[in-house]
Amino acid sequence: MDYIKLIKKYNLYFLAGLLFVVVSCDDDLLDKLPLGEVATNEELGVGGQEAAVFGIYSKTRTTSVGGWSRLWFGSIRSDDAEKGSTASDAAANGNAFNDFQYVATNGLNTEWWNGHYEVIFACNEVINNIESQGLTDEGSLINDAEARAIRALMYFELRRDYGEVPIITATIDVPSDAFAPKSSVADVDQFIIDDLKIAEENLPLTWPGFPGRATSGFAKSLLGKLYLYQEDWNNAYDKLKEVIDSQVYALDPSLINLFEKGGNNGVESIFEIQQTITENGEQYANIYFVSQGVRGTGEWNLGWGFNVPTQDLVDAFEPGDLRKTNTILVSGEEDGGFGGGILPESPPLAQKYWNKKAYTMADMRQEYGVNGNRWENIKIFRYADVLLMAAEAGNESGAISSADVADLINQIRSRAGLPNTTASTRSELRDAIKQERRVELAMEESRFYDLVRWGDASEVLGGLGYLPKHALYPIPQEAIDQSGGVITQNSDY
Amino acid sequence: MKNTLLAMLLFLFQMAIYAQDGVTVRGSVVDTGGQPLPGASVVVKGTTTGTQTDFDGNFTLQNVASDDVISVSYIGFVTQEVALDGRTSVSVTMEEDTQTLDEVVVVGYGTAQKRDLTGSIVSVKGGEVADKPAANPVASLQGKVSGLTVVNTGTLGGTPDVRIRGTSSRYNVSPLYVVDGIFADNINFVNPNDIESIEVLKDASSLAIFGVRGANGVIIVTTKKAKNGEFTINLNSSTGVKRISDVPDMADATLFKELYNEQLANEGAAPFSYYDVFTGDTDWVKRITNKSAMIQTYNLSLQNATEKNKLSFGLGYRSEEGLIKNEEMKRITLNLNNQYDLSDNFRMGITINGLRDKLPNTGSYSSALNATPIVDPIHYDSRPEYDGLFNQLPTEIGGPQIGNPALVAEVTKNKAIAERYRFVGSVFAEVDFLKRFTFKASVYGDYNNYRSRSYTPIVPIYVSETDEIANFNGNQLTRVNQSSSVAFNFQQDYLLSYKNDFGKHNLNTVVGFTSTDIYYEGISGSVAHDPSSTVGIIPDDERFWYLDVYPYGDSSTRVSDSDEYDRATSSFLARALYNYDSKYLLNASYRRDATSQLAPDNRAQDFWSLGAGWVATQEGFMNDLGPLSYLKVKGSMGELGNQVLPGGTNYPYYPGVDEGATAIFGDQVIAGFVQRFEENPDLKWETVKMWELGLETRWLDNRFTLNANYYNRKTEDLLVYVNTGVQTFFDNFGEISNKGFEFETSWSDNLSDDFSYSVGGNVTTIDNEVLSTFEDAPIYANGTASRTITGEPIGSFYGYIVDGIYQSNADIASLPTSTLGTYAPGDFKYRDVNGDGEITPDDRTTIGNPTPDFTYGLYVNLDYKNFYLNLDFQGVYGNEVYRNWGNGNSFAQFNYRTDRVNGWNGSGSSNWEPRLYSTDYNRFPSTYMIEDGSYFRIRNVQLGYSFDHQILEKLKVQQVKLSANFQNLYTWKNTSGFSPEAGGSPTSFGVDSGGYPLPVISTLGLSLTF
Repeated sequence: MDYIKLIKKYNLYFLAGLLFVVVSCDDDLLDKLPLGEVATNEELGVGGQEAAVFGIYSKTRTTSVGGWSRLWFGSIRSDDAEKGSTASDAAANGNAFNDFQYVATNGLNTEWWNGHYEVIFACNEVINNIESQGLTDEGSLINDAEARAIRALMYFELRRDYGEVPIITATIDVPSDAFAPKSSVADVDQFIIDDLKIAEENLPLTWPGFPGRATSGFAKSLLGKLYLYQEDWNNAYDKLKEVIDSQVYALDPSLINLFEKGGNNGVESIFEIQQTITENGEQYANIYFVSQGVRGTGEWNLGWGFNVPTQDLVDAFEPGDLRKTNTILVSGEEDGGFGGGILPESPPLAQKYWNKKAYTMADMRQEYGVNGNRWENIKIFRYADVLLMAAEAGNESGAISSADVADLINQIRSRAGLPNTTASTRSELRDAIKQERRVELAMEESRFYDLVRWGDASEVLGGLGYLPKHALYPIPQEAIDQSGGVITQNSDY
Repeated sequence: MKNTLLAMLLFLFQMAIYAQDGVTVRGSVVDTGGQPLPGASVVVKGTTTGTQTDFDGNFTLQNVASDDVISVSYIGFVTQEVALDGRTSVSVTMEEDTQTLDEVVVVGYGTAQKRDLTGSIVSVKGGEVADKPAANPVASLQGKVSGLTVVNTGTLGGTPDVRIRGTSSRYNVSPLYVVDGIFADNINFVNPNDIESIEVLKDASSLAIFGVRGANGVIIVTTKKAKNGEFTINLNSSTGVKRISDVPDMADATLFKELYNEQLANEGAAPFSYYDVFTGDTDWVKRITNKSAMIQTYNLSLQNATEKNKLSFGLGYRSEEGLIKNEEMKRITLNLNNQYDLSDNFRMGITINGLRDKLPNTGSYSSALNATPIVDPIHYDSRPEYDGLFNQLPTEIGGPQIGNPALVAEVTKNKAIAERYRFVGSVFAEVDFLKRFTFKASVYGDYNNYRSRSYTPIVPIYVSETDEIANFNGNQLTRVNQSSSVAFNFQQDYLLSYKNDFGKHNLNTVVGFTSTDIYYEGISGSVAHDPSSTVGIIPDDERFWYLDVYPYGDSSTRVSDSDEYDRATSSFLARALYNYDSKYLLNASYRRDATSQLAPDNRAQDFWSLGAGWVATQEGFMNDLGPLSYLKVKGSMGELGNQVLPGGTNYPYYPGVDEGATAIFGDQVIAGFVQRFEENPDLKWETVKMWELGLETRWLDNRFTLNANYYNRKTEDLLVYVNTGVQTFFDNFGEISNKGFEFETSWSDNLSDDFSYSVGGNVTTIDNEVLSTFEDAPIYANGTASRTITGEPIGSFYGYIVDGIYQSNADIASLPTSTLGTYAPGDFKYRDVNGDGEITPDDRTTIGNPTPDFTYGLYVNLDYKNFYLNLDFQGVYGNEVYRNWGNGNSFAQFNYRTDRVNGWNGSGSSNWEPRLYSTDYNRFPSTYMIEDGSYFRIRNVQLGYSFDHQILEKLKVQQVKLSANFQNLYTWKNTSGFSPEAGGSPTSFGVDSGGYPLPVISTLGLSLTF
């Protein structure tokens, strides 16, 4: 009780003291830095951009750049593949891609566009930071080159699907920075070439500790491909020859291994979007493969069943071509030594053929406890493509003899268990290259663009509804809306 | 600080009772008509000794000195002071106070007499929410307060969408809640039975004292405290059932087959080949509904005021089931208020609101609406291993998209256990000094602990097409998830107030300092079983649902994560309430808020308000105004803040790294980073400039009241999170205007001694317009038709106008060409809005406004002898609802709304329902999905009976009350979904996704007061 009396007597002083204590420690109260992570405006210094570059690689996987938009644009539009799945599933997307009824508001179209610019903006950030901070150390220059190589790939894919597109190089500080009028295809191409020339200069030949990072071989291959699209045959051949002469790459002797986990970053790999499942089951993968898995039930519920081979493609393989069984998975037949046994008949399966290149070894499915393929890399560039592009460029330019052209083709045919090509004239060789590209790169998002490039699209795809204007897709309406009309629609739409 | 708390607690529990010598005084209190006044307060002047009159208006005071003066007060009557002069028995006649109603309301950081205020504050008595079935008290305020919009949800434990005077921000429009002094984001932890009063603060004059938290309005909740002389024990209990209503009309199996066959025929596709194995006719909504969802509540409360100590204690238990099977919530609440007077000028007190929740696993009706009826929920088979399994939906008709709704409701939904403990408490000490000053120090703590454990089972499911057993969802691994989080909010207030009357000048001021500090940390993890191990799967038994489950858990699959933040604010505040002779009123408030979240050089912002009022009826020259007994004209203006950031952002000045930015090289996983956004050193909080003009009137001896306000709120410097692709940052740009009128009226009268009644109502108009957005760019909400754009109401629906259906190819040829996709007769005829001769995306336009033109509420209360009947009605008018369910899906066939039976099937057959055809052409957002959102609802009907006092007195019981309550009894509506009410985010609301109906709730209640 005395205690209380004491406090009562002095309670005013006591409370005033309390106030003082609380107010005086107030200065620290408002200084709060983020808990559990570094803030990016803390000083990072030399090497600070490397983590941001890793972020760019991650975005190639997590955005639509690596997702299933790639299938709709690159594969389902061709004569080799069709929508697949059940008739009603994504029927509208089927119309918009398989049947050439292009729609500017199509969601896959919007995602494809946005995904590419998202990656481009991340690249811009790195490139501009290195420049503005005046970083010239080797590591920073390599980081700059990685960002440029990936940015070039993004612009190449945009230009291939949309033609004229806006070139954005700025770091985006306000939304208007993200919008610019479209540039001509020639200007976009020159921009890509400029980036790739810096990239091939500064990128290493290989990345022993980081399989899958951008290499000079990747930059050169992409540059060669762009020249090929420009029909600049001499430059194309020279650049692709540099890749061949680098002796870093070879054809994978095993076709099975090539399209399995074992083929990830293998001897034939030039650039891939990396995916994996870690030991503790964390998945770092997108729906690119899952959307193509066999759409069955139980152990045959491997995915959604999109992007399936056409009978046309099945018939395109020469007898004895080992690639046929590595490209086509057939309902009601054995899976070809992958350990999954015999597929159910169709019906009940909705499709007769499935993309075997998206199929997996049964023991991998058990090991991960996951049915859908989330551990294989998505192939962007492989050596076989480089050999065939070199053959094409060499044949068209006349830079090399027809025997040398045939030799490049025969490297591919030999692995497929086929005899040497009988083609010898430039025209025969041209047809041989077209056939070889079709079956070698089947279901790998090459055929549609090749047909357009060769001027064969109207003839081959005309029956499916293709018109010349379908070489380019309409620019997404959302991009036009958001730009407030700065970006204009392609003239045919 | 810990020592301080301890010292304060020591005071509190060392409570001593002092005895005094004196006499016992008995008395009675009546009004001028001789009627006894029960519940009047009787206090010995200059002391805290006091009591209340009983039901017959009688009181007894003990230990009173014979020369004391007693003071008798009662709301609506003039307070009387009676000198005892040695008497031991007194009779007091109270006169009605016709000049002013001395209503005391809770305001920010104190209380004030309502007549002194220039702002708009609506006070709701706790009893209004205590006897309603809603667990969250704010849900029961729907339709009761002008300016307050409550959009309720039927989901068990769901949070209503609450907005005061419109939608003033893109990210946060919910008001600030203040529970016994502490700031909170909601009041779902407060037992409605423990509430004394709820004050809704709406205008600048009332809100500026809350500064950066004030712009969206404030709801102050005060829990029960014992009144002078009170000793009451109340026990009450209610039991009720919930019933589903307004179930949308979906196709049954016969109709589904008819429509699906027609659709496949239209598409030239082969008929569905598995009707022989899918022979069911299931009403999925009915199948997953709990037919007898129960609500039970039990409450005990005690109020005891002695000379020195005022104790109030409440204990509550509630169990409630949801409309879908296996949804159950159990809640125990505790409320404690204790104030101890150490001396005449020094008081201390403690308040605790505690809660334990067993949280429900809630589901949704969406998949029940979408699932085809041709599937039986369960498969019966002569082979035992196949018998009794749930059926998988047909692969072609939603199988991959929709899990069997019965399986989800009855098996997988039930595999989670979540609990929450929350303790919100405070201690205060208050001292009066130098006659006119009071200093009050309070510290508050809010401890919120959430824990959950869940299990992913492997459930076998029967696949009819192939006659085999598969795992539901393709799941091959059993998995356990476990998480736990703690949020701790510390707040301290130091207030110095000064009150004085100089002649006719009356001044009431307060200045203070307050700070808050919020800390959060959560950890979560998961583990799966090892398929190669011989011990098998993790058992389906909650005993094993822990991260370290042994020996089933595969340690290599164990992952963990954490999430954490802290933030703080520090503020100075001041307010003056001044009046001259209760005629001319002036209110002024100021607050300066500094926060840890903004750039160090730019932390503080200032907020203020000014209000003025004129009580015309106090003027001498307005003595004889006939029926008008009170008139106040008032107005206020000010600038307030909205401290808002989009969910998940706590450090806008310190951008972190994007956690998904993980690079893979081979099998190496390397954390990369993508800066989450650009920091902006100039970022500040949104400000809302608001003003209002209003009238308060009373007529016919205060029996009729009519209040009217015009409000105008303009939000400036909207905080925006701009995402242009990858580059994201915060900025201040954009303006939103909200304005409208509020009217409140009431009439009460006694028709006889036995029969009295009152009626009243309120109407609020809302005129919302977005004045500008960042770079004039429209803001789209993902996956819906909501768009926010300059010149339109926020979150307006955006799409095509359907002018009908193409009846023929000739019809198509005669109209503008559409570039939206392929179309044929039977598809929608979209209007060429811009008249360019083509149907393009540019023809999309605003097709609906989710904000009502006005909202309203009505009530009728009847009292006849011991019976009473309360009726509440409520509604909205003039808004649109976007139907986001039953529109089909790009990837699968879903069940049909029965309206689809009228689908176009030949020229002239329909000009509104498109043909049955799986095309996205008819699924673009359009007026086809727009429905009229106006509705009128019998919100609440309550019938009660109070037993006679005479009988009860012998039983030593003060009051026994029986009541029956019916909520959401009937709704007149125009939407086709479950409920016309659809809350949401500030930029996307009024979208009906078919999720959850508002139940009809019938309860019976019994209340005993001793």
